[in-house]
Amino acid sequence: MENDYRYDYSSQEDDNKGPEIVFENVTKEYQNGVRALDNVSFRVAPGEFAFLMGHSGSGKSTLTKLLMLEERATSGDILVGSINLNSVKSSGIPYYRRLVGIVFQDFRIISSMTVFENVAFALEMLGAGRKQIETQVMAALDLVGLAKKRNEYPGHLSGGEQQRVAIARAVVNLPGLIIADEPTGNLDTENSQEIMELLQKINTELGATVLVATHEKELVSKIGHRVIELSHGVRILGNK
Amino acid sequence: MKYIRIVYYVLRQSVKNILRNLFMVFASVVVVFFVLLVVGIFIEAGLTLGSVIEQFSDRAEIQINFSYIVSDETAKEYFDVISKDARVKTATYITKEENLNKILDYFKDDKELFENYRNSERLQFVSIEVQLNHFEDGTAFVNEIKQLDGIDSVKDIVETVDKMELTRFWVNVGTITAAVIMTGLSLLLIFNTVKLTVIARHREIEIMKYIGATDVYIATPFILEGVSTGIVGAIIAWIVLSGVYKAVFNFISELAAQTNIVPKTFAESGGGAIFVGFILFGIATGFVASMLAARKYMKV
Repeated sequence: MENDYRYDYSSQEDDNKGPEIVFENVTKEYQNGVRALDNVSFRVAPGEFAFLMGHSGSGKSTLTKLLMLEERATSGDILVGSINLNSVKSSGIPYYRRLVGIVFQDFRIISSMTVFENVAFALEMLGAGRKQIETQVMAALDLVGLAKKRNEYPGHLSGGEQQRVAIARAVVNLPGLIIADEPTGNLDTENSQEIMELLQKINTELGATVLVATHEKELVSKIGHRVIELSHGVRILGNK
Repeated sequence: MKYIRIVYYVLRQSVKNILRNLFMVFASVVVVFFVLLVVGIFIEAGLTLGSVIEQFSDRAEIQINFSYIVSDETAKEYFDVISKDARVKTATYITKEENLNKILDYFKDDKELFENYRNSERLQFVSIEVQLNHFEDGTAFVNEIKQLDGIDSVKDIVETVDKMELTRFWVNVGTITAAVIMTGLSLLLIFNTVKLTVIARHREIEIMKYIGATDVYIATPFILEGVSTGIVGAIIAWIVLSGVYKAVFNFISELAAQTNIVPKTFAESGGGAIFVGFILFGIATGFVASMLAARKYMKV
């Protein structure tokens, strides 16, 4: 794949693995005075799969927003690989986001596009050629088990399948980091389990660092990865 | 190659935007067309008046008509004095007979009626046609002539030109007023059209932002939509304006025949410059309006 990204993880110790995530004394206070994160520090190792847990209002969403550069930390440092997110200018945000695959609770796929088009969208934007798009999109759809449904529209897919399309789009340009914000929030138990397994597969096969924000304790305990738990904006569990 | 593909993708998105919002795009094109047509008519009126004024000014003609009681000898004495005036470029003596023939020629359709007046002494008058070196001397010269005894009338082109200048001033005021109001109107409509497209594609824009599309990349199709709306409106307005100009050209020519004014064709009357101006206006309004709409409504 042509690589014109302004950011890379070149200083990574292991190039086959996703970037390390480091939060150092991160505080986020909104303009209305609400302190969503209070002096949070943790580390996610390169290529690790970790859960970010907490009740609603615990600061999970704020934390993922900081990682997506939707919000900026009030104080403290956030490092993704060699990138200090505090130093990323507004104009650099799109280039940073190309290194991150994002999965949302509400899927965020375009209903007027087919499964293939929804995934190809991310590559077209980067100016990828037709052959490259075909190869990479089909690889991503294979990975999520939707290759046969490439011509279907989202309206004809189940919730679990729609989330798979979103995951395929998130991984199609092989990002080093996958952030999933409540990816199973709109799914039944069976589909939730499948989505979690799929994220694990991506972690294993692509070597991507995966951070999943969720409040579903049962599901987390079944999967069995490290948990970073937040409560009222403070990390209470998950040392490493 | 990569950039060609990106440009191709952006163009495809612009076409999609236009097709998705065809009715509003059509409305915007109509407004731009109407705006430019009105402004164009004002501009052409101003330019035509300017051309007429210029031609009149170049000639700086004054016709002095003596009363019928003034004899040829007296008129010739005046002619000698006027001819030697430093301000006068040429002076032509028109005999009583020549004047009469002119009148009869002018009313040739009712020639028989006027034949009965051929011997009327009131139609037996001498004239002097004067062309000045400088148009600016006209008012003073005419005032002096009017002081002379035996002058019946002075056909004063200066007064006509002054009236035309005043008209041209108001036409120019109208042009500027129309341009300002109508530009505001076009900006508003293109802004709203692009706003609707941005809102309709809100979800797509949001996703594009999350997968790393730059603002320029996202906004470009919307800006191209606005700019193409402006250009199409401008081209149609120019075509219609040239048609309107040609349609009134004959009418202008007829009027001009009586005054020896040579009317200009559309091309001579700034048609090319107006085309360029219209296109630039279309691009500028389309760009500004869509840029503002994209900036305001693209924040997701």
